Amino acid sequence: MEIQIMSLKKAYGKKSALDGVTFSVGNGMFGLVGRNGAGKTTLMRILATLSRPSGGKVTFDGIPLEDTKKIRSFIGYLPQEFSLYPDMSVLEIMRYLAALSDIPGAVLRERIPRLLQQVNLWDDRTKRAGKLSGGMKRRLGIAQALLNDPQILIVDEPTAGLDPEERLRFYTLLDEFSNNRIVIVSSHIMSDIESVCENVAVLDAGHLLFAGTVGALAKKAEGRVFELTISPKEQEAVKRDYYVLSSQSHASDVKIRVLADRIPAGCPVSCAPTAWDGYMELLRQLEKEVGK
Amino acid sequence: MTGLFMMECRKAARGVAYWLFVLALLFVSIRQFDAAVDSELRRKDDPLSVFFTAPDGVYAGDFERLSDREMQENMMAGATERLLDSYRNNAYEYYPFGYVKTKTMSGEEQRMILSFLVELTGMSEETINGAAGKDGTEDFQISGGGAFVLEPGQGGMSMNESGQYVIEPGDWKYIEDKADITGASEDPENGFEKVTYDRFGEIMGVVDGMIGKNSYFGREMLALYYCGNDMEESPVTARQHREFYEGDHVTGAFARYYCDSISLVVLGLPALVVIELMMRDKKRGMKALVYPRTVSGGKLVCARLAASVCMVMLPVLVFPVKSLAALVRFCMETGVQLDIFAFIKYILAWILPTVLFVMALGMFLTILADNYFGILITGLLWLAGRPSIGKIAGGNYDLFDLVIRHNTLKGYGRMMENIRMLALNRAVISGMALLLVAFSVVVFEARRKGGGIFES
Repeated sequence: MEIQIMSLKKAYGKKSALDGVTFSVGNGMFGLVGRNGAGKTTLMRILATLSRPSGGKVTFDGIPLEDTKKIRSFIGYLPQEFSLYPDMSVLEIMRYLAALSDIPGAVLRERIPRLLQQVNLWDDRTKRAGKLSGGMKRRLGIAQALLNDPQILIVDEPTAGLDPEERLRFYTLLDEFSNNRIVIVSSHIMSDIESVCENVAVLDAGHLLFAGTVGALAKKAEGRVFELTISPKEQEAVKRDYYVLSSQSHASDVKIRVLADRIPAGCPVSCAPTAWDGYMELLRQLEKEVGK
Repeated sequence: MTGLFMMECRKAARGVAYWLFVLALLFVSIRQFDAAVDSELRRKDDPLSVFFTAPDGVYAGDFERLSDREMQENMMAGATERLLDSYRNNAYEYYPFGYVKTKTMSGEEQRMILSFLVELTGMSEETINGAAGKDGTEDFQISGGGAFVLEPGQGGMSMNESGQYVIEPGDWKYIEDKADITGASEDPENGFEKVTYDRFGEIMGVVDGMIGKNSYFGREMLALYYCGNDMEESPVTARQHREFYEGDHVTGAFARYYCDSISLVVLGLPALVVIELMMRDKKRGMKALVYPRTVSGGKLVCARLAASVCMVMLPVLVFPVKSLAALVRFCMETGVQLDIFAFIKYILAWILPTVLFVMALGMFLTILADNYFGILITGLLWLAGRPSIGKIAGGNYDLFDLVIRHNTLKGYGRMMENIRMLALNRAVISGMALLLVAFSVVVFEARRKGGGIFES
């Protein structure tokens, strides 16, 4: 399965949400990264057939986006913001959404218990949705997205509001599912994407900044990531002169990780870049261009 | 489809609007319909009751054979009698929104009504007030040769324990056998100047203005109740008797009356049920989970409408069962043939098209606007779509009447005379409902796909 996105445009009135985005997505976990308002959700809604593009083309193994009936049969979607009928039980919601997916009864009788067990909600199947915790709701969200055994799973900011343990469990589940399928995950937390995705696309203000492997993204910052150990007094000056990625205060000094075009003064240690560094480098370059 | 339909039924039944509808329906069914059935069965041997069967086979004269003058006399007598009764109880019924309300007059207003009654009847204030002094029945002084004379048996005149006749207001009959009804004349014995029909109209106009919209004394209501269209509570005629037993087979008349009783409820509240159901996806943040499913828009829209309609029709069909059982019992005891399916037939033919249309409109507007705008429009429809009071007696149908009125247990023949227009009306209303369903499907599909004005 392959998704081809070609010159995709989406405008809300005069505001452009996506502007000529082109990339392709193959099997496996695919990360969609970008700041808030980058266009991630807009792109995902288009892929989930919930929004019509203003221009460009999207195909799923050659099937055009316009063939919504067919596309809906092999996609699963978990939106960033969703809620559930509070007066329905977990099982009722699954059955209701399954009825909307035209899934035969015999298949459902096997699939719903399996999915609820997979997301650890089988014991809570009679619980009303209104009584579920945020994490449980997310898990039910992923279970409903898998109801039709989709070839393409689209999950928008799936770990927002989850504790670290639940986040880990969530990504493990997605990883298991992604075998021979496409799982598109959006997040503004690069470390999440970095740990589970092979390929990634970076969006900013509706533009595609990067599309490729996580390694290629990291390479964008190659030779530009340095670690400095400075006194707290020097911290302000470093922040002014360099693009700070992280800082860690110790008893008498501060360990600071920066992006720089040239080797900073002092005793910098050149570091191997991560995808996070590559992502930040993309944003830094963009800001420099905007500044110019 | 069945599974989805059943789940939508459960969703509809969990809405506040649904239970609001059920309560309103229950209230109207008990207060108006069940009460009417009980009352008719209790007085089944009374000539005023539709159940009445004259032992000698002789019934009251039919309105259809009355001349215009006789009709005017009938109107004046009937309206005066009703005014007397209303004055006596200081309870004046009127229909401001299609349902009965009762107005209580102030002391000054009562004095004005009293003066009108003196003018209309020729009786003294003392006599009228004396007659009004006690509950229920009272000994009336017969004016003799005045505007009103006693007509035994019409109002249920009975003999008391001491052997005296006790006269009800209904025993009075306005008799004008000499003078022209349109010209005033003086009664030679009492010196009482009988009012003309024109003066009667003036008085009724003032009284109507004092009570409120659609009182029994307005021009339209007077014409409705006293001009031969079965609305007047008068002894049953041979035609009415025949229509009730041979045309309606008892239950038909009550089924029609039931449909009329609930007509204003089904014209409004069912729309709220479907609006609430359609808005649940948005209100509960479920749209993004529901829309990208493979189910077709047509299937989902139809399942939701069908579920809402079925849930609304369920209590409509169930609530008259108690009264139907009482009617069946009566028919079995008396050996009268009944139509056991009358309620189902009338409900499906009269109520279902209205429910379908109102709900289809509510659904269409909700899908189109994606908010509660439909409540406003269907509310306005409720106000504008109610037939005029002139149609309350039934038999007078127009092509686009949303509800069919028939606020009497009589009038089967009048309905049958206009059955073609009635059938056409119901077909048109149903057709418009189906058209709205088709529009709903188109708009729903467009909204699911987003883009343009339907972008969420």
